[in-house]
Amino acid sequence: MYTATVSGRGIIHLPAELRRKYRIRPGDKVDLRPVSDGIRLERVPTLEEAFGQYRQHGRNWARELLAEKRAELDRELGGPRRGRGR
Amino acid sequence: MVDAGVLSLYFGGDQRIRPFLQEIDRGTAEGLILDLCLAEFQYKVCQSVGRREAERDGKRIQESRLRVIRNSPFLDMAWRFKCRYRQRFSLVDCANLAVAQVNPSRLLTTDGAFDGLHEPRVSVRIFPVEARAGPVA
Repeated sequence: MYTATVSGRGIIHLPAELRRKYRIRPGDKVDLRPVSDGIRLERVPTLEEAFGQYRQHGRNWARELLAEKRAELDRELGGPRRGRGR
Repeated sequence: MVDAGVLSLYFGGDQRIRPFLQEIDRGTAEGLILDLCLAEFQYKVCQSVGRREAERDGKRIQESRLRVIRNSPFLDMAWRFKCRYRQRFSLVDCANLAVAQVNPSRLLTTDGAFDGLHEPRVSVRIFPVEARAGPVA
């Protein structure tokens, strides 16, 4: 349990131990999410940290998106496309 | 410029994509993504992982160096509809639905997929194209 003091401009100091534990560094963004009994603080992960985050889904999503685009174009053209050059 | 498929591959751990996004992350290259593509990616995350994760990933991308090119303020609602009605509506349909909900109105469409839709503040009138009821102007 940690206690922090709120300054006149709403600034609070995050204890070093928590910053270390949750890898919060200067310049990082944090989400403040109102929950039923208070405010939840979460660090917003960087793009680099997102790499491989959905290892089990990413390739399937890419395939599905491509299939959806092709199906949409097929509908516009009134049937399956031919001679796509692939 | 990246599309939703490439973003999916990156999140899926595809090493071919990583160097490009790293360059953008470091600021050595400029990266752009259309809000429509971001919405496509978010509904995929929402469908497979969850809405909260989709919101978080959207925020992460918006706060990264990847610049989101805004075309429609309604896409942030549209991906949520698409997440709910994956098989029923296209993302464009979902953007229409979002506009109709924000500006309570009647959605006039030729698309029978809207038949029986129950969404707050949205009513739908369908004009089937197969059976034309009146003169074409």
